[in-house]
Amino acid sequence: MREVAIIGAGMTKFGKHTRRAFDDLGAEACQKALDSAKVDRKDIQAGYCGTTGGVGAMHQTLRNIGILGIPISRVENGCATGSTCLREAYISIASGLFDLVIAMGIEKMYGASMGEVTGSQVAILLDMKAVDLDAKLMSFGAVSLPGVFALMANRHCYQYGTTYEQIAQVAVKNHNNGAKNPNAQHQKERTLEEIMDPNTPDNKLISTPLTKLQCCPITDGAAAIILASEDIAKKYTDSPVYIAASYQVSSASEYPTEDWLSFEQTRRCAKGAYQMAGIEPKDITLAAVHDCFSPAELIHYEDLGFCKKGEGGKMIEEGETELNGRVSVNTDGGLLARGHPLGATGIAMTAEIFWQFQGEAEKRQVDTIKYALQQNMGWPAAGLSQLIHIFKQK
Amino acid sequence: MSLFMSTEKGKQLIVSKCQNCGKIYFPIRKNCPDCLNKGKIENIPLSQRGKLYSYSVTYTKPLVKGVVEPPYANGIIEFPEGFKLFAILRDVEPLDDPSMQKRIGTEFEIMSDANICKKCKTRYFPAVTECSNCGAEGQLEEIRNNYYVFRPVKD
Repeated sequence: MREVAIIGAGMTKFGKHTRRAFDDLGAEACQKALDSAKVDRKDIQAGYCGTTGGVGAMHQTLRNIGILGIPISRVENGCATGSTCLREAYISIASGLFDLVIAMGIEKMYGASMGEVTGSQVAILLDMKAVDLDAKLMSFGAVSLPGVFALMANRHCYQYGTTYEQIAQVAVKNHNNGAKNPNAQHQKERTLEEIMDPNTPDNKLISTPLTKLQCCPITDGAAAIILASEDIAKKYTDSPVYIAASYQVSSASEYPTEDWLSFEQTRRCAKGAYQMAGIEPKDITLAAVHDCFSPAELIHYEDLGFCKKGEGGKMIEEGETELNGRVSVNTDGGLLARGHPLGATGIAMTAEIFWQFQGEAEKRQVDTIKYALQQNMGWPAAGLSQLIHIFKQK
Repeated sequence: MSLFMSTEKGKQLIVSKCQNCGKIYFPIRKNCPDCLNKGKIENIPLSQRGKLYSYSVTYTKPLVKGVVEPPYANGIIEFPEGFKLFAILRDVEPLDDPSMQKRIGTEFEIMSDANICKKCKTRYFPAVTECSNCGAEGQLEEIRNNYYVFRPVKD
């Protein structure tokens, strides 16, 4: 396997873009990534796209910016779609097949139901005569996704003494980081009181203890990165960001977790990723983790080995994951504040890590980085998809 | 697909138990994805009672219509078989209070009967003994459904 590096990144502002088409959003992100890498569009050898709802978005986007004739592929993997796209692009270069590739994540979520965006609505229509949908939903208790994370949160509180304040502190940190990121959907600093009070105009209770500000928003947006083999990367930049590990797993059993206190996939994926990079959890000083709902981030701290099991609440309370803490987590605002356009999330996480390494993260810039980690989780109807990438500079 | 089987105890959820590794699956399946065909898989009734493993109150609509209106309690129920199930909860009072974690460990039982008033065709889940729409008594008939909720056991 060859070394692969990221040499450029670009993204649109995340938010509501109902008046912008897929090829328009995609073109902005891809053009910015090409400009950032100083790569001539004619030299791009392949295009990979991560999107759940944007069927044909990469073909339309690349046609729009004059990249024609190259192989183009689209991948889908629930909320981990963007990172799956990154991994496919990585494999295509590591294998020796290509030297210079563009990977884009894109999603438009406003104006459609979650079922339509994820494509599950289509699957349901096609399965209509084969399955009893009510029975299928009841087999999971008809519980909503925030409901699942709320139940995990309450068990965590019961088992380990984690507090609602500690859980809400994740959202405080990520909203405050988002306020420093011009591309974030939410750019407003928040106090603990604001995050926890459901009786304000822009907040409400979703599933106790989760308020709306502790749940990721509906988001439109696109993000793109340019990947290159080591030899080619060095021609474009003195500071390539190398992919030290790319690891992917899915659920090893029918249920994503036995005790609903931890994700076994995250633990297994992290172990594989650390082994591939030849490092330990303590070597990670910057991380983008999948904070779809505030309790998820605390559980990931534990599963990624940033702290001991049950100590996620203590870790956030002691400020260890704030900007320039022991591990700076979700410096761009994370899913909670930057936004979570499903297919674009994994690429946006990678773009943030690239900018942090380049010293281009402006007000949210961290001082030093040893290794950076990106963790992205998807729940495509049955079992979880889990991807972890680790990045370094030489 | 039916989620239930009828036993002398009434309606019970059916689960598949792998006779080789002991894993339990719901809804039922033909083989154990963990050990495939090494062991026989048998369909057995799940206990009607279990202990609350976690609890929350949800303020948005549930994924299935006709089961409950928001806000509603939901939880994870842990059964004596060692199996955990997500469920909507009923008859939990007060619904949302700061001491809700005290409910963890308490016993809950399944409610899964539905009926229809033969006179005015109003459907009820959970089943009722008197039609609250037209007031007709003795006109209620059990109907098949795949809904279930859990309520606290009051001994």
